[in-house]
This record gives sequence, C-alpha cells and structure tokens, in this order.
Amino acid sequence: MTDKQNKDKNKQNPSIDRRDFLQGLAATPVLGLFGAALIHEQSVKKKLTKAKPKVVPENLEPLNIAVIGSGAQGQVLIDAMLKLPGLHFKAVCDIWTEYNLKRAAGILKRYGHPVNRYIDYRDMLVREQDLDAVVIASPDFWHADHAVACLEAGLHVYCEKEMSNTLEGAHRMVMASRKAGKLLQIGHQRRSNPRYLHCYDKLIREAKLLGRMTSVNGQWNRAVQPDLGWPEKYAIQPDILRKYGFDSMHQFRNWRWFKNLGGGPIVDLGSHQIDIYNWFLKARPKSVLASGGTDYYDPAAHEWYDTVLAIYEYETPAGTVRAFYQTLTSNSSEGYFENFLGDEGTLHISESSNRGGVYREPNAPQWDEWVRLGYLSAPEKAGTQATSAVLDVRETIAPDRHDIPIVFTDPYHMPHLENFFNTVRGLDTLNCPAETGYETAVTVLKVNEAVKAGKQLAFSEQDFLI
Amino acid sequence: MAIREPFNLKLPDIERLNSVQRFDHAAMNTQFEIWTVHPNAYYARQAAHEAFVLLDQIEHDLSRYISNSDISRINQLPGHPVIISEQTLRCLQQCQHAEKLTSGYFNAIVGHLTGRSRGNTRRGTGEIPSSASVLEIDAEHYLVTLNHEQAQIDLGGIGKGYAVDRMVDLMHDWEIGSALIHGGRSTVYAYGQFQDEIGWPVSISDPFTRKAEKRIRLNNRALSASGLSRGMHIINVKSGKPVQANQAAWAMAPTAALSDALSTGLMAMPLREIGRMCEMNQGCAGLKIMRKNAMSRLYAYGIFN
Repeated sequence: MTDKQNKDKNKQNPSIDRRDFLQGLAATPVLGLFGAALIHEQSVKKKLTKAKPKVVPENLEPLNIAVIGSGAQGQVLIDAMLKLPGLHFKAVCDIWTEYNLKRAAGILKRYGHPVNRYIDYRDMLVREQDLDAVVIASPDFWHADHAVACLEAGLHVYCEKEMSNTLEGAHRMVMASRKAGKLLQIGHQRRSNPRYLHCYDKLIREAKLLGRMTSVNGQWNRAVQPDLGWPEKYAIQPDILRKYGFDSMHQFRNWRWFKNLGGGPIVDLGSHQIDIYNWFLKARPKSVLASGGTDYYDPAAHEWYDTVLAIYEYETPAGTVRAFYQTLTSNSSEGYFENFLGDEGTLHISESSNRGGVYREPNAPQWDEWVRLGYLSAPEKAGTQATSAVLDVRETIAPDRHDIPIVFTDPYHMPHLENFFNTVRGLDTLNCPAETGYETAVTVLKVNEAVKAGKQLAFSEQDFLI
Repeated sequence: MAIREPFNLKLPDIERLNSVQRFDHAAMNTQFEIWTVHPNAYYARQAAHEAFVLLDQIEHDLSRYISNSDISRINQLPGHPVIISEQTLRCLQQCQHAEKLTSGYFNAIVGHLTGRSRGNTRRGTGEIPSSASVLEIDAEHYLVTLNHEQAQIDLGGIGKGYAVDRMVDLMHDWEIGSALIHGGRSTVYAYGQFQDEIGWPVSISDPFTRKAEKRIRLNNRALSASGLSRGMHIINVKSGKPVQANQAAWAMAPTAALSDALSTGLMAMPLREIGRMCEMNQGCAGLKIMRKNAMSRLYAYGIFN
C-alpha cells in the first residue's frame, strides 16, 4: 500500500482514532498499537539523529574568501566557517580596526589564516586579486553597495539578511548578481537547517501531516537590554564614522534602531521567521496589517518600532492562510518559534535548541505510517499505557506530542554557508538565492510601512518580481 | 560532574550597598551576577550586557546539553577529530591543567559515568580514565578527538569558572576598575577596590551549623565552593563511587576556572594530597569541613585570607 493510499484509508476510517480510543476503552496497550512502529522508528531515529563525521570529498576545491564586517554577526559566521573544510581566508574588512578587525584577524591567524586587514572594501577588492567569494556581515544599509561591488568584481557573495534596508538596494543586488553571473546567497540560514528541511520536505509536502493549513503564528520576544556600548578606549575617530555613514559611535553600535541604517526589530528578528512563512506556505502574502510603536525605549535613540504585531493574509491553492507575527523587545517570554496550524495537525518549530514538536488533531488520520517511516517519533505517552480493558481514571493526560527526529548538530549558520560554498564549487544549488531573499525583503519591509500607514496594505504580484 | 552549590559562599549584603551596580543573567542552569563600582552606571550596564553575551556564547560552546555545542559534537563523534572554538580549546586545556594539579581527582571525563551511576549510586563503576588518556588535543589545529566510545566530556565542574574568567577579561577591557563576578554563587572572582579597601569581602560558613568560619577579601583571585546538600552527585574518579555527603570544600586560585575545578577535586581528595597541592602551587588554597558525630572539623591548607 502506498503512503497516499494508506493516508486515504485512514481518512475514510476515522472511527479508529487513537486518542479517542485510549481515552475510552483502552483494550490495546499503547505499545501494542504502536509497538512495531515504535521499534522501527527507534532504529530510524537512531540513524537520523546520530551525528556523522563530515565526509570531506576528495579533491575538494579550495576557495579563497574574504569577510566584510566582522562585528557580532561576522564573528558568528567566521566561527562557523572555521569549522568548514576547504576555505582559505585571505582578508577581513571592518572600520572598527581596534576591536572587530583586530579580534577577527587575530582569531583567523591563530587558526592558520594570516589575513590582510582593510578598513575600506574598495581597497580590499583592488588589492585582493585571488578571491573566489566574499561573506558580507556589515550593517544592512551597506549590504547593497558591498554586494554589488563584490559581484561586479567577479566574486560570489554570501550576504547576511536583511538583504538590504531598502527595496531599491535589494533590487540592485539581484540585478548585479544576474549581470555578473555570480552567486548571491542571502543569509536566511533556517532554509539550510536540516530540521526545517525535514519539516518542509517530509512533514508538510510529502506526508501533509498538517492537512489544510489555515493559520501561522510566530514570535521573537527579547528581554530588555541597554543600548550597545563600547570600551571607551576603542572609540572610532569621528571622521572615519562620518565617512562610512554614522554620525556617532552610538549610532555605529546601534545602527539597527535607525531608520536610514537598519529596519528595526521586525527586520532584525522577524525576517528570519517570516521568511519561513513564505517558504512553508509556498506562497507570497497578498496583504499585511500591522500595529507597532516605540512604546518602551526612548524614541530619540530608537527610531524604529520596539514593538510590532503583524497579520499577513496568504492565498494558497488550498485556501486562505492568516499568519500572525509579533516581536517584543521588552519581554523574553517564550523566546522565538513558529507554529504552523492545519486542520489535521500543528507543527511547532524553533531554531533554538531543537525545540519543537508535531501534534495531531483529534479525528485526523493516523500517523502510524509516518512514525514507522521515521518521519516523526512515536508520541510521548508517559504513564498512560493501558494494560487492560478497564480504564484507569487519573489526572488529565497531555495531548500526543511527536518529536521531529532530526537533531541539529552543526554550528548555527554552518549548513547555509556550506550550501553556498558547495554551490560555488558546482556541487549544490543555493537554498536562498537573491530572488528568494528579495521576496522576503518585500514581505518584511512592508510591515514597517503598514505600521506607519495604520491600515492594511496590499501586495501585488508585481511587488515580488524583478 | 558536580552540580555546584551556592549554599555556603556568603557575599556582601548588596542591598545595603548603594554604590554598587548589580546585573544578573540566567545561564548554565544558574544565575550569574556582575557587581561593579563605576562612576557611570549605564556604562557599567553596557559592559555587563556584553559580558553576558559572551557568557551565552561560552555556554553554547561548552554545554553538553546543547546538541550543536563543541562538547556535544566531540561526545557524539568518538574517534573522529572535531574542530572546536578557541574558547573550548582553552577550557579543555585548563581541565587538563587542573587534572594534573589534583593528581586526577578533578577529571572532565566523567559525564557518562556519572549519568550511569545515578541509577545505582551505591555501586562503584571503577576508576575513570584520565582525560589525557582519552582526549587527544591538537592545539595547533584546534582539533579534539575523544578516543573512548563510552566516555563523555562534561565541563560542569569548570565551565562556570571558565566563563567568569572570560567575563573578568572583558570587564578589564572595558576598564571597569572594580568588579565581582559570580556564577551561581559557587564560583566568584573579584578585583579592585570596594568601600575604601582593596578587594571584595566574601565569607565562608559551615553548611552543617551555618556558623561563619572565614571572611576573606577577594582581590584578583577566585573562590569556589562544592558541597553535597543536593544529594550525592560528585564522583570520586579514583574509585568511581559517589563522594560521601558529610563534607564541603572550598578552593582559592588565581583563576575562577581553576578554583572551580579544584573545589570539585577537593571533595574526593585525601587531606594530605590537598596539603601537598597547596604547598606546591602558589596562589592555591584549599579548605574542607568534614562532619562526623555531629561535630564539624575544619581543615585549611595554603593561605586562606
């Protein structure tokens, strides 16, 4: 029987719903019902979750790379790249020479990569003649200029999200990539995360465990934090700051809050997850309604909204999906996650610490076959095993929760970077090419517009096309 | 390794100290705090924020409960070299240093065996191999290989101390002239002037009687505590058996990583070996309180003031 036939059969026979069955007359022990599936699932799970050593292909083409922007995010990317084989770091560029640049170059040197240091990216591109690719982690408002210059120099580019703080900038990046015939990957790293890939490919597309998706909700809530400071002795000279677009050291350190430099929390935090909305729904939104404001922090130093709640409306082949997203910067409750809700199940997922689970709706088709195939774990049923036909009445049992049987064992960002470098080598295809990054930028940047407009704004298909 | 306990390291009554700025952050299954004395309270807060960001990064490298940490990656791939971060390398090197100082009574290769013993705390599991015998460190290339299928690295006995040291480095870089940093009160490092005197006051009390035994001014050094009030959780690596619950130990050292590790090692170390270790290593001191027949007895080695 094929998976589809099996699923169809289950749909036709809702009378054997397992949860109802257990809650009523539990004649069959849970292990009996799930026994074979459980045993098989355990062996599959073992194979799926056991970390495997990286197999480095013979004759892996070495790549010469440079990094533009070695602040907090640049350092995260460098740390991940140092764990990838076949990369030769040649140069690092950052205007904070006494702190970011010194730290990054020092670490790279200790790992056997004596890099050249640059303040100006143009200078770097003139002098470094043997580069293959550049990784960009500079502030958002610099992304377009940095990426376009690198692409025009004939280099492949990995650029951190948000692709740009303006659609005009993002548009230029796509065009430069096309004109140069060079790769441009945008750093929406969840698109290469094996847990997210499993959820999309196996659970949503193939097994269709969620049924007809009707709603999405997600959030990134972050605790209150002070404006970023700097050790006083390492302050950048005012003329250097001005040359590179900052009016002060405070603005340099807190560029994300300024309207001409970044996009605020909805872009910094929300973009990662709203990108997943588009991906998992395989659709573009047709409208967005949003409310937000600088409710908590001093508006003089925080031009962008510190609190944003947005509702998107998607039109999918199966019907309308409404997707809610919130970002708070004054409370960290529940951290960050995404929930995809359908009439047959719920997927809860987060990039954080393998958090997540899948929940079956009452009367939805059985998932035994998918458990047997190792697509998801058998449900946790601690203390609920029935051993006879007599119902043991006790405290309320929790709903079935299935684990996603993929444990993420690589450093964050590594799979996405690896996808990029392997595509440069001709061994893979990009998981987030420029056009996809552009669609996400269109989707996310519109939220700030909607907040300002105070009304629902519509997207047209043309908005997403280049 | 050990679940570190805060019960016995008394810090100054901060509520009455208006001149002190106090910041806290949850990490490594406990609460870290930074106390500073700085004329610009907001600047101190910004420095503390950066220190806590660093703390989270270190936890992410060192925790065996995070599936993609360096330590988890090493543990999951016995026999295979794993590229690790600079922080992880430095911490592992300090583990091996502490292991040497304590003649093997501190050992980061106990996680798996500790886990196994939880189900049967009375039965010994035999001597645990030294980290030098199962952990291959290629420092030049930042590669670590765990050459033992059953062994696991667990930095629970040193990770908090290591993180405190790096946070201290950061506070110096920010030119914060006086600070006290602790991880769950079981490991504390302090430097600089507090209330017109050099060093920050901390105290040690008998966990069995609650009587204050020592008051110390901590300056450019660290103090750590270990005990068993939460039950038997420290394994004597020589015998594989849990350490008996009738004792508590404190260690002082030039770094928090070392004091953290030493205090764990002291729990199982015979008194004569503690004395020898403190004699041979300047800046290290050990103190142990043992309870027998409803009486506490204190043993102190090295300079403990």
